[in-house]
Amino acid sequence: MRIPVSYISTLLLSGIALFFCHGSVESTFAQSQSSSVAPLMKLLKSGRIPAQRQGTIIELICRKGNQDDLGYIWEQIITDKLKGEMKEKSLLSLKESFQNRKIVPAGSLNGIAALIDQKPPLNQTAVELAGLWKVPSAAEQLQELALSKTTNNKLRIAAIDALVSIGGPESIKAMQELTRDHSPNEIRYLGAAALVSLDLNQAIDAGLKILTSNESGDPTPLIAAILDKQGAADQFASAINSQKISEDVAKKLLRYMYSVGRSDKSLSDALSKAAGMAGAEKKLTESEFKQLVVDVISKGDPERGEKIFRRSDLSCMKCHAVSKAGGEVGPDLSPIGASSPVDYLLRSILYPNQAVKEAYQTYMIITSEGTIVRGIIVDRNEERIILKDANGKQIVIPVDDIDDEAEGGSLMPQGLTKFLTRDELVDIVKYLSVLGKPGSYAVRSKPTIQRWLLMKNIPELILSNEHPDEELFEEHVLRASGTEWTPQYAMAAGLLPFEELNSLATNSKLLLQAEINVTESGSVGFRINSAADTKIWIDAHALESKLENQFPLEKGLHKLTLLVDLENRNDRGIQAEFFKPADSKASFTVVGGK
Amino acid sequence: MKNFLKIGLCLISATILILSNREVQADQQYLKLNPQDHVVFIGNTFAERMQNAGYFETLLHSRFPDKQLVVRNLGWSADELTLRPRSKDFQDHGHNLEDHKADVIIACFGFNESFAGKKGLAKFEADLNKFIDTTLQAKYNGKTNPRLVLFSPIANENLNRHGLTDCKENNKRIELYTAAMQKIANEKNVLFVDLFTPSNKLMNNGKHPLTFNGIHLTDYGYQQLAPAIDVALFGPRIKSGSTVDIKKLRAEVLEKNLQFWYDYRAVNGYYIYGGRKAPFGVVNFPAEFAKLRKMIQNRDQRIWAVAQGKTVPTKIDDSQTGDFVDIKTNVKDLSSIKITSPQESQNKFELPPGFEINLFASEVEFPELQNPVQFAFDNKGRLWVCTMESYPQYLPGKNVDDKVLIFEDTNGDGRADKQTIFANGLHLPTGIELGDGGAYVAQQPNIVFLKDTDGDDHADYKEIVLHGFDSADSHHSISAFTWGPGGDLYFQEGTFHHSQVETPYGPRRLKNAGIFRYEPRTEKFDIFVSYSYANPWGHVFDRWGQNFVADASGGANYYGTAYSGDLDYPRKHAGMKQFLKKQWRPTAGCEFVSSRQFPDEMQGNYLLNNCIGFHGVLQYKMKEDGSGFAADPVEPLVKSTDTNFRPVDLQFGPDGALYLIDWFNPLVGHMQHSIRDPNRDAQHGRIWRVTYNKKPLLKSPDLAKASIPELLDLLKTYEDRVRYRVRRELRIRNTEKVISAVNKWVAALDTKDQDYQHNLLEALWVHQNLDVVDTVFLKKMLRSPEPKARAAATRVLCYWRDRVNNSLDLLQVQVNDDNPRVRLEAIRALSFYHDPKALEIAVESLIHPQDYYLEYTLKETMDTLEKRMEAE
Repeated sequence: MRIPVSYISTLLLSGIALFFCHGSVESTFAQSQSSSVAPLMKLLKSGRIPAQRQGTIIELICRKGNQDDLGYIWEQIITDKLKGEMKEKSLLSLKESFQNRKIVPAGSLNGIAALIDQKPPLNQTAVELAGLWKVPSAAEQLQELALSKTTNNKLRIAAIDALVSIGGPESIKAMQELTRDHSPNEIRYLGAAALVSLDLNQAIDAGLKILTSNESGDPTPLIAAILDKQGAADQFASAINSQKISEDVAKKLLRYMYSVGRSDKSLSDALSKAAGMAGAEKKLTESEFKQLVVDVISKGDPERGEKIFRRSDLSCMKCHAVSKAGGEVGPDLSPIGASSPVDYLLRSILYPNQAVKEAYQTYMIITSEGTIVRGIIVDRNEERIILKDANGKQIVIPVDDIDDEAEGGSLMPQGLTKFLTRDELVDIVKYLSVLGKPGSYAVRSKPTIQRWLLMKNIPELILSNEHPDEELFEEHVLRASGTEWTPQYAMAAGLLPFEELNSLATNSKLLLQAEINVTESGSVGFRINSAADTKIWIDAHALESKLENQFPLEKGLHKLTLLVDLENRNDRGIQAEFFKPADSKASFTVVGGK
Repeated sequence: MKNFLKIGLCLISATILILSNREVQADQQYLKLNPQDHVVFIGNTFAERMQNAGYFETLLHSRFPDKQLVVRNLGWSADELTLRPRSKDFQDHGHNLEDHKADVIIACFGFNESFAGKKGLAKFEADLNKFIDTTLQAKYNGKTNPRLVLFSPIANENLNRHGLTDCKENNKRIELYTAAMQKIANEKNVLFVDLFTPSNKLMNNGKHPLTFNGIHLTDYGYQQLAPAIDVALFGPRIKSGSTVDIKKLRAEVLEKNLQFWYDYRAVNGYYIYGGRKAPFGVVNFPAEFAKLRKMIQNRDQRIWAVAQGKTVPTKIDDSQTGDFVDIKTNVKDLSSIKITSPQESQNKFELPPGFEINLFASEVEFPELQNPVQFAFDNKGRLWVCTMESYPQYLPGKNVDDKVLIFEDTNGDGRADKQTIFANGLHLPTGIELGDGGAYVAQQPNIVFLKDTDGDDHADYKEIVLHGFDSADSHHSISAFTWGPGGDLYFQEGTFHHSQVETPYGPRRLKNAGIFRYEPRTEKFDIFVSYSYANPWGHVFDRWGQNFVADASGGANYYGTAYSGDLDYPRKHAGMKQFLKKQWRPTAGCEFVSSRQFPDEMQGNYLLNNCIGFHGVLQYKMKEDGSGFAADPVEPLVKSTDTNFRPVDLQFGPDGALYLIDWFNPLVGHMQHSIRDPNRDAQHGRIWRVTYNKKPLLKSPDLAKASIPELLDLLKTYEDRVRYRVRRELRIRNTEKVISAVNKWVAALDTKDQDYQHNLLEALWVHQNLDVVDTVFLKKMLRSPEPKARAAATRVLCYWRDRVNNSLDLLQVQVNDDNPRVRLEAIRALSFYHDPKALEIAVESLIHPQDYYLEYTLKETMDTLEKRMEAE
């Protein structure tokens, strides 16, 4: 049953409760007899719309149409009347109409089998649809995909999800198979995560086996699945209380939990105990709080604070940017110290739910299947709500699937301070309190490079070749896929410290890239603190290894790449900026963000 | 209609005798009052406005001087029996009927409900039955059931004003609902007062109009109607030797009502009782409201004393009403709070080469310039600005004295040398725009129209023209006033707010942020954009009438056409992409560069104020993006390292310079510090002026003195702001003369002029400003060879659709236009219809190439139309 939580206050005047129905008119769009997209169907069937422009109309039909309307589109897909990109788009539209409205095309769905055998990206969508529509006849194919060693990870996850959705003993068996210890741990976790919604006891048993194995690896899929399932966190907590997991694993689980803004008491307590951290936090007394404020002002060290802020176990930069570089879930903190006093900052970290800026108010939704979704509302209408979670991922929930919903405070995790000593907390608040104030933490005024992309595995061809030619460079660096790169954020004042990068170097070398968006073409300069042992490229064009370069740039996005050999560098890091040479007409911005 | 304020109060007692009890519908049944009764008004704007008039309440006390009646007005703009939206946790504020221990309830409903017509009558009757039953069973005073009186709606008035409804249809519906109320009241044995009949009679017989917009009584109107209410409730007055000084009594009533208003309609409710009351509001506000409520009781006592013929001291003694809590700042590092002098601030600006910034005015030369918020230039080239020294809100017992100031640079040195106080005694004027011979000023929860009628530049006429804009968060309240090219006034409000406004065309409601559109000539008032903004504070139209909106809190910027289609309350438009990538937040105010005083390459750039972190004016280069626009950041125009510098409004002046107003404050957050933090500054404010030193200043035309033909020629001026002010001036000239002149002007235009189509568009907008529908001219512009003109004409058609025949056929042509923006305007316009055919026409746009905005707007229009079809 849906319990609408009115976030308009209902006025109790004279004891009469006045209920507002805010748009929650009982919608019957999904099963209505007469289709509200009749004019669209007429237009589509009339043939007046050129084939290459049918994408939008099909999307609109899928958005509002009934089963028969969708059945017509489905038929166009499986009979190959829709081709190529239009076919992919239409399939995605069908998927979206299920995600938003849980509506399935009329007629036989067995045609999905043929689509699962197609090439990417069609097969991916087809696998997802087989799960959403719960097509039993596809189960066998899906099991093969889930278990096959050659399936890529994305497709495997989709196949597993689909099997979970279809359910049944066969699916459970397949998932059990995945968790066996002959598989690599990352696949075992996927299996255990899938079992969470099929059979929680089995999932926890299997999960603990992996967590207590020698190579525990990254438990994200498992803990994410447990947090998403209503009631699972408590059960997992009691399992942990009775079975020992290592401090390291417990910390990993706890860190993940906090990083997505969850602080369920039982699990948080159990993991804190296992991690050897202080148990339940006690709320500070008024005088303790005041003393903290005093200490921040008198003893806090912003430099130390910045290092703590950047620590990956705190996940601060996963959500917050400083000087435009970092996550975009929470607000950019560059000017925060200029507008927020110390006690407000301290409160925001200790009690993040007390004062939430309007744009960051979260919502918590429990679906009829018992899944918990928490995030900021991106958009909502009568049919569905879209939430953005702490990972920046958007999740669509059909209104019909909502079992309960409530305002959920801030996405900012409660309990973060567990990872901090008191001195560290004092330093981090000090750091925040100076951000944006005049001085070395002022809002940056120069176009320094704050967000770098670091290439994880530098291709041998680039490392070994003293002067790689432009074609080679383009192929292996400029066109390298997104997954090859991780973002690295410079400190507020612009320095990218080597000490945080050493472990990421390939043969002591770092390949770093910055992006610049040119809006008026002209001459642009690049300046770096040291060019020692450094090669520099703008796009595929090699520049001289010197402190300053100037080059003409056309409108559009350009990439500046550095290859730095750390072997003989003894300085602290890289600090670089673009600049506008005198008389240049160029206009540009340095790309920041996540 | 303007001078009725001055018509003497002495008429009252005379009028009482003239009215006979023939007018009274309530037979012999009269309302019985007991000593110390608490009489509470509830209901819609009719009830709400009664507290500003005070006539009936004065009569009540004069009739029952010894009963010591406690009268409280809980009227609320546009309330209905079953729809009374309030901001979060308002019920905790202490204004429920239980809190007021109501013995007598006077309920004024039915007007807003009546717009549902015959179809809605059954629901209204059911609601009314239920309301009566529930009310009569309650014991709000803790002891007895209340006595209930139902007031019918008043009649609506035909003001014979061009463009304004004659209210005939309204009156038919009101009569229908009044009859239903009477019937149910009889059945339930509840006292009923028919106000329709006597008000209708007064409207038909009187020499002066009773309303200013057809539906809301003026002060004079309430004065005329008060005796009818008095007699209907209590029977004819027996001539007595009463020596009550009615004028004095009314003054006491109005003073009590004013203090009660500060309580009941307290601004910043979100920080008093709502979602953000902790951690600061719970410290200071309880004592403030305890004091205010004791002050109100003091005023009750004075009312009784005066009613009994006693004299009261001129100065009200509030010494025993308690003290405030001493609020300490939470700014720990007090060295960070440093008030910079104008000269120090001046030295902290950085501008691109060739630009200069100078101080136009500051609190040093003009001490009244405190916390300026919005400004406008009048047609003599003077700068008007509203100030908010009472910010963040009224402190009980401390009179508010916010102002509208006029600044003049009489010697042309770029600095103000003369200040005139146009209006004072205001409370939080968050927005201002000039027009129609006066100024529209935000007075949350209202908008007042202020006017100087005797030429001394001081407002002597004041009317609340619109009610019901929520004030739950005073810095989210109505702001960023601007005229559209067609003579429509726009203003915006932020989230947390639940607003509802009564209009002659039915109530209009908005929750959680949006933009309003008001046509003063026709009194049409609509929700222009209903969107989940945080707090929009910036709205600007470009040369061709396309509009752009800046949302302050999150720093978002939107292309206005795409999401300003119609939808029905409480729906909101779906999330839409921004037309530029945010650099900083929060922003306040946006403007396009359109000044020959500025460099050529900057023309058309979008300027945006930012006031935390980055203190200055950001700049973006606009570009076409399919049916819409996009923008790229370029070098900021103004940058300051003075963190007190908070630019909150900007506009090009008549001399071609850019003017900026500086709210100037070390603290700005509403949430980060106590509302009463002593470091919130209320003594400073500056106006800055930016010029380019390589080009001459522009000659400022004296629009106020220009002839109509001269004004029309000024519509050829390059600068957007000159044409903006010319249109505003033409609106107050004689309509017939302007129309005849504009038609001649059009005929004489040079067809080879590269601006010919733009000149024609200006002529069309002049028609729209004057609400003179010229279908032939409109049709010509709908098919103009210039697509930008076709798009703008499509917007005009949208707002003339009720008076242009076959408007859907015209839109069908626009929907199939070659140009995507024309199609976008047409798809938007179709959302305003209630005809299934509009949907069929809208989807025809799919035959043509698509882009983001076309798809977005089509979805929005389809959703609106489909919902209406489902509801039919």
